[in-house]
Amino acid sequence: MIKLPLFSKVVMLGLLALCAACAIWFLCRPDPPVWRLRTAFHIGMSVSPGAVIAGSPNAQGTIERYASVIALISTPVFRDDIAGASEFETGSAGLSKRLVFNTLRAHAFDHDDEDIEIDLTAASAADCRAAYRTIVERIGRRHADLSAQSAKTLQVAIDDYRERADQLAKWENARIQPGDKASADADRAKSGITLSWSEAREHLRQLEAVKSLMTPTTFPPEAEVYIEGPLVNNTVRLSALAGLAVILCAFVLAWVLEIRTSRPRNTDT
Amino acid sequence: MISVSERIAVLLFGLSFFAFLLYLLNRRPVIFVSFFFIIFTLAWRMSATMFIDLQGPVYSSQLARDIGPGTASVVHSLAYVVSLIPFLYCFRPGIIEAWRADSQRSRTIRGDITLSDITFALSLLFLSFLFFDLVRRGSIPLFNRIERFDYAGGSAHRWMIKYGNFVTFWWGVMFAAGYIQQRRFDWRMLGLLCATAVYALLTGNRFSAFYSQSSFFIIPWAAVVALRYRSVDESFFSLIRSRFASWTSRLTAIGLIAVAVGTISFAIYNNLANVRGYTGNEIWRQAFDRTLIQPSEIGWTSFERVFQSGQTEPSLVFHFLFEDPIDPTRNTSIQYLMFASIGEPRTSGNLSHGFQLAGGFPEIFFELFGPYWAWPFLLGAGCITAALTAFVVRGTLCGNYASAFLALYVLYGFFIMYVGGMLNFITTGTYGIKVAALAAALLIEASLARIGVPLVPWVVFRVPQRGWLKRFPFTRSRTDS
Repeated sequence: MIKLPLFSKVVMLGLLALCAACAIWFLCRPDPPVWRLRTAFHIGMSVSPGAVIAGSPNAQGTIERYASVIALISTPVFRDDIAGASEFETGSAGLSKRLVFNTLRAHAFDHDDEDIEIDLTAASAADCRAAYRTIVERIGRRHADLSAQSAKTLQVAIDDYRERADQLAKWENARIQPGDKASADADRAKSGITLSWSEAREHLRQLEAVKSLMTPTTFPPEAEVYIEGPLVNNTVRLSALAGLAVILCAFVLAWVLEIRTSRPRNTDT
Repeated sequence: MISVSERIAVLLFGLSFFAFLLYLLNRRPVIFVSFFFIIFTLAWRMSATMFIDLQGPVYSSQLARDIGPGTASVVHSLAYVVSLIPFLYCFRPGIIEAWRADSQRSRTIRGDITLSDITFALSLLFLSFLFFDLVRRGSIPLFNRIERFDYAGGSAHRWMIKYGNFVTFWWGVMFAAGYIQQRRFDWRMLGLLCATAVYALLTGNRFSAFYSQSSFFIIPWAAVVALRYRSVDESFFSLIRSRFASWTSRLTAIGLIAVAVGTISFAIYNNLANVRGYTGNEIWRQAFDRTLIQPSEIGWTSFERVFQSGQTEPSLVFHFLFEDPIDPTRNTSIQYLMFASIGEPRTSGNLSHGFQLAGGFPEIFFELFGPYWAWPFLLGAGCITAALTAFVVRGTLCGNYASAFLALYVLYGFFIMYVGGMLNFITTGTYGIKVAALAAALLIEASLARIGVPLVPWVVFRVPQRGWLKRFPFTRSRTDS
């Protein structure tokens, strides 16, 4: 193995440091500043009439399962739709479209099936808000449709039970003889029609009660949405250069120490 | 998304770090062997950071969010190199040559009882009790599907969990000292290490126990490498090639590696499939996450905060780390990083169950000192670590076993810093005592060296060679072996 003289080592280290500095300077160049929006929205609630009637404790649930909402937001079709439909500022529209498509993500929270965090990056704060508005509009409309469908099903069930209860009440009234009140009361207690009527009334009451539990999906107002920025990655470049400078300083210090400690040894010999 | 140039930067800096490690292995093997415990961790974390940077966004199940892509590898690669640079000075060829000249070969004679003999006898007693206690208790975690941290064991088990690394280090010192003093391998020490590995397997350990105990065992082996390897003569690879010239030795080495890999793979599979109950693809998903995402997920989110979002609050971080942590008796750096990444109440909840996320270095330096001032501190930490490692190797090589052991005891705090980012180890009173003990040992050894007496002698005492004692095997001569 050839032992290189000190000068050659210094030259080699200098060239290596120069290459590394150039690599940092040109490869880690800062992109245009970007803004990042993060917020969480609350999925509305719906009820299942069948579960209410069956007395299930899980009668109330979200309009759409959180996993389905995350899956929807993660699909390229949805992200492309948001990027395409948002009204971005003219100067930054191109970059914002690319950024929103690439960065729009949805996250779930631990032990919370009703809140979804959305996270996106765009070329300006206004573009972040524009994309957010489109998301609110798309998810809001989808959930409004689902909620309306659910409300309609519930209303059908309520109407059905009301009609059934009315019909049962009519039949029962027609069966009881007028003037024979005591026997009528005894019969009424035992009558199957009366029991069915009572059951129908109870279900009707339950269904009407859960109607108020249905809530729409809600998004925070734009003013309350946190937009972080401008984010620039120039820090990486400057910090890496600082690190490289420290490495160079360490080498120089080591050489100085080595030369200083080797001098007395040489003179001794 | 990151640009093509940023991808190239990630690859360039990541691979440069691996090239630097290859250089250390081939041309500076003393550094590589003595610091292997940390070098392996850094290499693993570098791979994970590169994966997140290049493959991101990837889902982190522990953070419950996507992480990546980015250019964290550029900063982390430089931070690792800055930490390793001081080793090049502390282990320069000239100084290793001086240590080699100071190392003395001792000639034991019939009846000499060495430090190695006493270590073996005491260790054998301890290990026998350890296995006896394991069997006596009736529940063996490997067979009873018990998680390693759920197995309480006896006091010997708990002592082994706490000080196992120091024990294996001391065996490593004796293994290396046996060669340095008498030019023969003390295979008994390797036997003790294997017995400990079997115990670790039986008590449900997966990878980290094998890795840390083996790494601590080979640290003193750097002294043997320093003794045998001269960088000006040949590369380390050619030295290894010459040592494994025959097919028999190569097959033996390959066989041993295969056994080690097979045992660790079995331990990991058993833990995931039989203890934790994962099935099918979940097993691979868990192993994949543990290998390529979890080592760097905390580091990547810290990079995102400090470098991408410019969110650095050194005074706040200082207050959390040293004044008002969640649990001041444990690593406060990872507590802060967890708090900043997953928030409350998850951080307190995880910590109260004894669980913490992986990572911490070098991100805690950037959190505490900011993206620019962290560099000199990283270099400073590297200088202290390199100097302490040099004390360990020099102590082993020159027969200064007290300073070698105490230097490792002090160095251990820095090891935890490199593995888990811990900085509050410096503030504990016991750490000051350890440093003082090391300083005292170094001073006493230097004073005694002038009159040619070691602080901890290799030959502890001599058994008289008469009567019935001369029939015992340990009194045979070892000089000519």
